Amino acid sequence: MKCALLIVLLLNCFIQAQDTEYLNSENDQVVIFATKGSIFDQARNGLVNEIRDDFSVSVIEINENTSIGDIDSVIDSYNVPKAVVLIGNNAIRSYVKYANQNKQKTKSIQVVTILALDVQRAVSGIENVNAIAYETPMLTALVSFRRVFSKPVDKVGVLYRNPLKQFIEKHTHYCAREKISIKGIEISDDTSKIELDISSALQNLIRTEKVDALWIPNDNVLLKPEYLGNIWLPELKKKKVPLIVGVEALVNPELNFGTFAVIPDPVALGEQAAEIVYNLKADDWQHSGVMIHPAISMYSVLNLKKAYEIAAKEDFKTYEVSKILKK
Amino acid sequence: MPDNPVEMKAIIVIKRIVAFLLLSVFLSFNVLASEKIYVFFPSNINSQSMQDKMTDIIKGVNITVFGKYNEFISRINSEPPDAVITKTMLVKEQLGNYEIQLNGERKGKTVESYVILSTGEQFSVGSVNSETVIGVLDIMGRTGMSTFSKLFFPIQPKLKRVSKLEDLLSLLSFDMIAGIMVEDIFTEYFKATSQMQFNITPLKNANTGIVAFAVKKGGNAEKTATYLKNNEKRICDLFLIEKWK
Repeated sequence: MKCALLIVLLLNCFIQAQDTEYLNSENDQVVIFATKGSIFDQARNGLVNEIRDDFSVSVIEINENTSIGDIDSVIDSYNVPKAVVLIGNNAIRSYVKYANQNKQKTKSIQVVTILALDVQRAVSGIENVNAIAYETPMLTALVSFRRVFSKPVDKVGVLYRNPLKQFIEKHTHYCAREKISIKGIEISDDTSKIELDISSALQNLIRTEKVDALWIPNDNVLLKPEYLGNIWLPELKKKKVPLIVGVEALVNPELNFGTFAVIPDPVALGEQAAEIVYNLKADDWQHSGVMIHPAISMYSVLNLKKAYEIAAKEDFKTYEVSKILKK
Repeated sequence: MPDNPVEMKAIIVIKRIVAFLLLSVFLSFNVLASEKIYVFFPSNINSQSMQDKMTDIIKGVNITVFGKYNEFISRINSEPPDAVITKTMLVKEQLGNYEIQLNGERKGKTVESYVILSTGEQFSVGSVNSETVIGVLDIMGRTGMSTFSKLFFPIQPKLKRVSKLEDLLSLLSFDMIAGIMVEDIFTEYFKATSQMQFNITPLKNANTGIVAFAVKKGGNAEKTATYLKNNEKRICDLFLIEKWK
């Protein structure tokens, strides 16, 4: 009997943990809509730990069953919060649908978003939003690489497709301040030409331009497995050029591809979002328009096997790397 | 239970011996339990590397190095260590249960000064207003850093707190702040890491302790204290000092 009661109690705690509250009626209300998952949980924890003492915080899990009505109930139950924080593209999509149908109710709510891919497009439709981009800024990745390897990084090659053109141009300007010259080559979206485009771009950057490194933006079209196997890896085998990437899987030593990964730290993204919430409060919740912030804090991952191809052990600073993959 | 008094006596003796042995094991375990030291010292060395190096040198001591202020403070509250190694002002302002036994010394001083690194126009303390944004390493949490910054600025600026040195560089690179406030020892780090031209503005009223080894009041961390007093270079280098005194 006691055992059964204990099990019921534990289950109850587990169920309640799915939606969490740190309520204080004297504090301004912030509602967090979050998708479930490891990085989303980390970001949520980073955010909650920062703001729970000064705000009344509620965390609501968003999943495929969450309806507009569910969101409306939440907004009503908290008497229209001062701010909502949306963690992940699913949370943003759900909220955008809701906001479009409830413009009057949501126009006073400040929105902060994190961990959303292609955030500019994702948040279009939300009026008062501060969004933190989830892509690693190219400059941050290159400076981080240069710091760890102590190697000159004067010229860096980048392959990109049209959706990233503006991003690349903007960050080329930032890189110039660090005396890093970016040689970018746009790759066609035409699937009949893409393989040839990637191949000739790589040859151009590696053999003609003789770049010091290649920076690979997160593009699941350019990095399709068949292109990795048929084009990228054979070309990179001929000439060892360090690859700087934005996804940990690409520096897996078994893949034998990326040298160094620089990735936005999810906990720090939560903390960065917390700062935005505090700033919004300080400005009396009056922000209007769309503001996209670069992600500030990263963690780095080194593929030791690939690192040895370009430098001796004593030439790179492992103590400045967050994680080292040996095999 | 046996009826025979001799057997009963034997059982009692055996029970006492077992109890004595168990008590001895328990006591000896406590005596042999290693000192627990927490370290929080933001620098360009990541926390795992620092922990590995310290553990390699300081034997028989349970050392945990934290990369973030929140994690450090939270763990001290939930599982208090025997001693801490951290920024002096953090011990003085927020760790009242810990007493400083050793101070880190650099170039004959146990204090260091702060500077503002900026790019573009020369930074001026007099021009700081409530909308100015300054990047800082988070050593004492939101409220603590806010209080600390009041030492330097007549009008309180907004602070952007980060956990890592390289994050401060990102803030500058993306023009998100007017300048970064750091210990002057880190000026060379930024000059070595970045090709940007920095302006360096020394801050007055800014002499704070470099680093402190503080022991829990009424507690003991003799082993760690002994190692630190040896002033082994590999340990001193981690805290950017020349010796402990």
